[in-house]
Amino acid sequence: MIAEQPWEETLEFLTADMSPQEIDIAVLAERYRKYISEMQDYDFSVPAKAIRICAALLNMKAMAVYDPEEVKEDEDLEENPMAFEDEEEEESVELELGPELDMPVKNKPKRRMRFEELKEALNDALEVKEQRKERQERRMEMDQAFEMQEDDLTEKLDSLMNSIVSFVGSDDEKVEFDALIEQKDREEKIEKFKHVLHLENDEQVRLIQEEFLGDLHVRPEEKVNN
Amino acid sequence: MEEKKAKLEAALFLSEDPLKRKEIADVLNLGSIGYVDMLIQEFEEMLEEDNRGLELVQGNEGYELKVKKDHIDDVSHLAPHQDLNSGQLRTLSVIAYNAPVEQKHIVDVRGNRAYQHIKELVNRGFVEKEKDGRTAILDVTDYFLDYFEIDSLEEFREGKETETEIL
Repeated sequence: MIAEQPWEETLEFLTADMSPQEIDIAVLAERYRKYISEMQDYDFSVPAKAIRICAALLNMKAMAVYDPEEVKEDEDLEENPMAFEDEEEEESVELELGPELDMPVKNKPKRRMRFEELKEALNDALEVKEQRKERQERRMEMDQAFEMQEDDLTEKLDSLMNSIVSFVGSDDEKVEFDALIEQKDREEKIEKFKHVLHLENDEQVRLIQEEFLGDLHVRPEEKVNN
Repeated sequence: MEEKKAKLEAALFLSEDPLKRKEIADVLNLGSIGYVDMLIQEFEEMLEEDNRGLELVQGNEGYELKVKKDHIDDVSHLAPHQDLNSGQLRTLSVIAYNAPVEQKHIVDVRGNRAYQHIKELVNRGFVEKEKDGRTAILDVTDYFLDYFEIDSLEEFREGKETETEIL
């Protein structure tokens, strides 16, 4: 039931099954209440704007259905179960409705650009071009650094798989990931980890981490052992 | 007539985008485009008076109201929204500096978003585009020169201090 931000989508999501002309604010409010409580379960921040919108919608609906005359008639007809027999009736306070408020109609003026800004924009464009060039160069360097022949990778994966199998004696045994690292340096750890992920993707091993941030273990899948 | 002119002013003031003659005819409930043209012309002449701060500007997308150049420096801080966004302005500056220029060169420098910028700049009347084989040739228009109050592109190129190659 959790919808993604922004709030307009949330409202749209919660009223998807309602006709736009007949949106039931009470149902919407109830759904929104559930939605908020689910969000709290997930410890998400509550979009205050959406709450404001819902409150405004409720207020609008209340104002639309409120008819002082009708309410007075209803009160006369229905017995108030909370009233005491000997209690004196208080004078009802009648609220005066103010004049209808019109929405202000205003445009958003846009500022004309100046010649100096055009010149500055050229410098900015040059800067952006240089940054893009640098990014492309960096990306190419990284691609080269990580470039690996398919054969090399297959060999490395096979070698790693052999090491894993040699470490374990039976099907339910597993090997500590750290035991697979020879040089103990960062680069090797990252590379081995990538290789283990490749093996797991190929369903040759299972990568296990029983505790959050705990030690990693690798267990060969049964079909490999068999 | 005066009432129609007032309505035309209100529509131009309120519209976020430039208004085409057909849209103006619809708003004013007029069947004759000729009558719309006459109204626009009269309204334009009215705004040309010195005691008016706005002017009517016609671009490819239609008519819009703008603050007259004489007053823009005094009031621009009141309008945080720019007429062109920074991406469009940068693309326009590269086109202007190299005009006439092939579209593909502009895209090389500015990236793929340049296609959208160019489309907007053509619609706004700053740039004209002519098809040339598999690409297009871009050049600035007289409206561009008027808008930035320059006589020629040389004025823009001369003012450029950096000697870095742009294309």
